[in-house]
Amino acid sequence: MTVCQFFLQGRCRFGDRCWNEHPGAKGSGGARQQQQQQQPAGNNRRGWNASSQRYSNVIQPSSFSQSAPWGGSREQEGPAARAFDAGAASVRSRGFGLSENSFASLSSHGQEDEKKLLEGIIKDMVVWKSSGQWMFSVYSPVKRQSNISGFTDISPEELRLEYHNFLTSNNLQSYLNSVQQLINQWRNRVNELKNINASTQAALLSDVKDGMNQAAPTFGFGSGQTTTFGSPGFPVKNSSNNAQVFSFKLNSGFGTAPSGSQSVFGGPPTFGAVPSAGSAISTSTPTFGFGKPEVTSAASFSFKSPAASNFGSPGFSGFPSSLAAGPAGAPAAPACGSGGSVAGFGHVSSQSQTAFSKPSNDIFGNGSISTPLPVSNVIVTKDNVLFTAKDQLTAEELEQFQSKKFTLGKIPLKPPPLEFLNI
Amino acid sequence: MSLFGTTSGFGTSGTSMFGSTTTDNHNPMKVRCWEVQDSGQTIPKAQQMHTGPVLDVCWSDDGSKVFTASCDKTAKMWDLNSNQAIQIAQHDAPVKTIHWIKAPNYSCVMTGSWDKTLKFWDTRSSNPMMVLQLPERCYCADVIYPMAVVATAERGLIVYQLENQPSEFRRIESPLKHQHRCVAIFKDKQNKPTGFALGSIEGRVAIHYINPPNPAKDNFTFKCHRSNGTNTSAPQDIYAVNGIAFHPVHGTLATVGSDGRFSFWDKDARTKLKTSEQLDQPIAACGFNHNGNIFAYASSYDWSKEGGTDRASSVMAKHAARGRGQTAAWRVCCPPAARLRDVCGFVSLATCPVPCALLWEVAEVTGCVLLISVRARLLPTCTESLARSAHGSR
Repeated sequence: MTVCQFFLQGRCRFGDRCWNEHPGAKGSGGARQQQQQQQPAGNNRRGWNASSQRYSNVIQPSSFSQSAPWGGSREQEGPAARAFDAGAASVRSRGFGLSENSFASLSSHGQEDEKKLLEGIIKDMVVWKSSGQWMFSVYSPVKRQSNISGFTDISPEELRLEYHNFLTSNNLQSYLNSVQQLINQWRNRVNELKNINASTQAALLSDVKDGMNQAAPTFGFGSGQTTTFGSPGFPVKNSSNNAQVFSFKLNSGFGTAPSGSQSVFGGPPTFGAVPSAGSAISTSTPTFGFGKPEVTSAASFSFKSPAASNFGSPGFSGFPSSLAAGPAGAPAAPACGSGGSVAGFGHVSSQSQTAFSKPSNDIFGNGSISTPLPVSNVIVTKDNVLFTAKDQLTAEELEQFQSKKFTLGKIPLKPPPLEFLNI
Repeated sequence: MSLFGTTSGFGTSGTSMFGSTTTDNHNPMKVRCWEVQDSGQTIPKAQQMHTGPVLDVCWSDDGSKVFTASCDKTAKMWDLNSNQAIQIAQHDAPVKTIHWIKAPNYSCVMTGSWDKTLKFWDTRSSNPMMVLQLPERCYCADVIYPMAVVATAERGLIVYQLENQPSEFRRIESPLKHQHRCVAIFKDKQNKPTGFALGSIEGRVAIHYINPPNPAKDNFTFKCHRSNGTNTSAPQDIYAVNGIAFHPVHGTLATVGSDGRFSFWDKDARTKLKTSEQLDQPIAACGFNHNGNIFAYASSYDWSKEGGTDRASSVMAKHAARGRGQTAAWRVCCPPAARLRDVCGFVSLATCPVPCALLWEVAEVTGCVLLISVRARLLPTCTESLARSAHGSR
């Protein structure tokens, strides 16, 4: 180890936390002058403790200090942390089990945590609006949990690619229009979250809580309107099996895995199908044994493969698997809907209801279908999430929306139609 | 459209080499190789084509091949010795990330794409060796054998282990609340990958260990690339973290953001070491060279504001971290893009893993890949000593 020059001069700031060698004076190192406050965690030379080393421009452990307004997040840190101990898939399922319990505790802690959660959301929305950060991002109020519906992820590169494509087709104006529309939708959603009233509150809380348990009903994408995306209620079906089964698509159905590459990996020819599944499910050590794990995982996937085969080959290899994978995990969950919509986009115009086909046609007109995928995805789903078409509401619900106040017991569960809003 | 084939400004040879400012619709995207000399003069050396903007580049471990991933849904391998580029991968959507994996029993190229798949390619075969499904579009990835991390849209985060055969190791719930933007793996003292840093669009980076002894304490997030530092009371401007790179020797990390600054951090001591002065444009990508002596960053418009404007793009290098983080600013690639329109943004930067004359390759949105070489002598224009603040950091 290098000898510490500062120590030799008698002014080492780190004392015995210093990573260089202090020749012959281990004990007295701690007594040297320290510019910063430090706790006597002197033996900890690596400074692992978040609290022990506090320099003048320390990185604030903001993740901890900000978790307070989120209420339930503290409880969730615990079980989630425990879940990391042993590593691998089995722990994941345990971790989810624990988090589900903590969600239960969230609801039992009741009002206060919810309030904190909502406050946190409001604060985040305010910051998001004022800070000029990237708009087209998903958002989750609690770090480890699911995303709030109503936001979609578009990366800057995707948007830029859109721009290029429109540029080459000389269609810049429609690009600008669609971006403007996205921005407006985002703004609406942010405002909606900022000014939380009773109905959005209920939706939000169910979003956050149920995100882990069942992806389907509560997520905007999956709320029974998945049919419009051409997927016959996939997420709903999968929801019962989600937590324990981390889907890993069997590639065999999609013709992408070769059969001739066994020499590379030293396994049987069909490795493309199985090993990924085997390793995902059968837990800790990612063995490539093609014996038992194969069997069990195949069994656990059984509900997916027939489902997948319903789709034939949609030409998007990611499509059914992403649906299958959807409810399996929090980040994956919204993807199920959007995955469906992506693949289904090619079919949207034929299958979707009028409410959806309109915007997509207006925006993209004759532009190529494939490229504006992420953008149009947003548009379709936004309508889905935020508003319902008038014809989908019963007479009673319509009446409720039109009256000045909701009457208790008759409050509609679906969002109001676009036409009723005065913006 | 003269947008993609530029008119002038690349080195002294002007348009002759890159010319063909085509007006047809194909607009082949050129991959350009430069040599940069001491004086800052740039000389074009070679070019290759892609038919769509290039999103990511990567070196092979021996430094003889360059892999490029493009929006034309393919990935190509460019053999520098023979100056041939062949397509090695195919996806259904733009390929966002590309990495070279060198394992004891296999080597392959890993491509992540917006078609939600992760494919592994033996460069000799046109079929992928393996296809893994992602929950969502792949946004960023990093590979240090035997670990690979992929961050996807919708805050997805998956860790893969690459021993024997790539397989999913764990899905991690995102420690960040917003869209993932970049990820970089770091190693522990025994030079084994042990965790990763994940950056989001919200000016925040999460340090996450795979198997920490104490997850609640060891994993943390910190805010960066904000206009007001840690003062949270006043409304601040929040910028996306565009790239993260770890110093190969010291283990300190550098982040670059849309605010046009780069910062060095020590994740073990949880301190910020240094923030640069603000450049006039966002910094899109960064990287250290193989031994950590040079830190390169590419500044260009990164689309963080939805409108596009014409700006110059440039790649710069800093002579970094000789021992204790002395830095020098040295301009590598003077704005050839000064006369390019806004589309010529830098997207990715990769440093050659072996010491050689060619150091960096930078991918541009126009589909160009610049190979930049550095001559032996660097000419520092300013020096700064980080001795005090970097003391004790690795």
